[in-house]
Amino acid sequence: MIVYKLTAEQANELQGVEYMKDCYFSPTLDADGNYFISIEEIDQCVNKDFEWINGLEPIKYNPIIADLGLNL
Amino acid sequence: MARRNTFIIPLTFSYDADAAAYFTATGITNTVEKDAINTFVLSLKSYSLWTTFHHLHLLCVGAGATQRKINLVNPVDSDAAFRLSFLGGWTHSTGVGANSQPNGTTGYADSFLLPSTTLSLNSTGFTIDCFTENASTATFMYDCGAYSAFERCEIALGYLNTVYALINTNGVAAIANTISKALYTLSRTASSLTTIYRDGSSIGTNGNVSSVLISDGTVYFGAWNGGVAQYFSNRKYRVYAAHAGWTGTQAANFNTAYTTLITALGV
Repeated sequence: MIVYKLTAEQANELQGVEYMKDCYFSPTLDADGNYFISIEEIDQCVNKDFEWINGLEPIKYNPIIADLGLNL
Repeated sequence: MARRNTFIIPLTFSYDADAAAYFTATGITNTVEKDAINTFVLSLKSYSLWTTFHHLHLLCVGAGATQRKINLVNPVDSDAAFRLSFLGGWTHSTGVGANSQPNGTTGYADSFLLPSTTLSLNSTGFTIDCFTENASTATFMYDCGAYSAFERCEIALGYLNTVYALINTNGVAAIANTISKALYTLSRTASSLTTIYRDGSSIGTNGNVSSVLISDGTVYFGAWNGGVAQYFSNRKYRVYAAHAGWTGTQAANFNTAYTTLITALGV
């Protein structure tokens, strides 16, 4: 699965900002210390201030795995 | 010959006041949707379920997030009224099979429901209509949840054919389940009894003992709030609700009302 890499500054700029009505960017940290957003956020973005997200670098999705204590 | 005067008295139809408030808040104008939702609201009231809800979100009506964020039982566009805030990647589909689907990587919704201020320790339930069959998945994903220092208020409908309904507990018992695509009600009704209903019928119980209500994190939908959103779901959803603990009769009655709604909507 592919997601799109952000710098910390870019993540801070996008955090909580609408990319379309009533839907908000949610930059997420991965296990490698990279922030990223998803293809859905890029494809559905109608905010002209953030056209630069179309040029973000694609990276492989590598989520942080917290210990859930569920004995999975 | 006597002349008979004929008077035509116009019949006026008015929606239930709570349904009407939802239509106003969401901007829903489609008559099929309005009639179906109105009947649904009346059914919930006739079953005495209406007042048991903290929130009830219909994710199979309207056109997308703007309509679906609104809580049917308190249709005010505010965090205090438990609107959903859609964060990250979501797809909101319409028509036959209408649903809202987080993307499994960044998508979730904040319900703004803080367990300690809203839920009752031994009477809490969640109802979720999951429209994706992936109960056997080896990727752990939460359908909703909050977590703090081993205290849990979290639901996972499918992981290696197991369902977790960990409501106001630090226990971790689960039951076997091979189906995720169904209407689920997961209901704590006593200090050591949580029952899992699928399409209105019990499929099992767990004896996780209640512990405390989480006080430092709201319940996320489509992910798990362990301080930040994690364990993102990619399941499609058609309804999401938090309510008091329900009996088997209440779960069955909701299933009946909801099935009628879905049929009437044609989705």
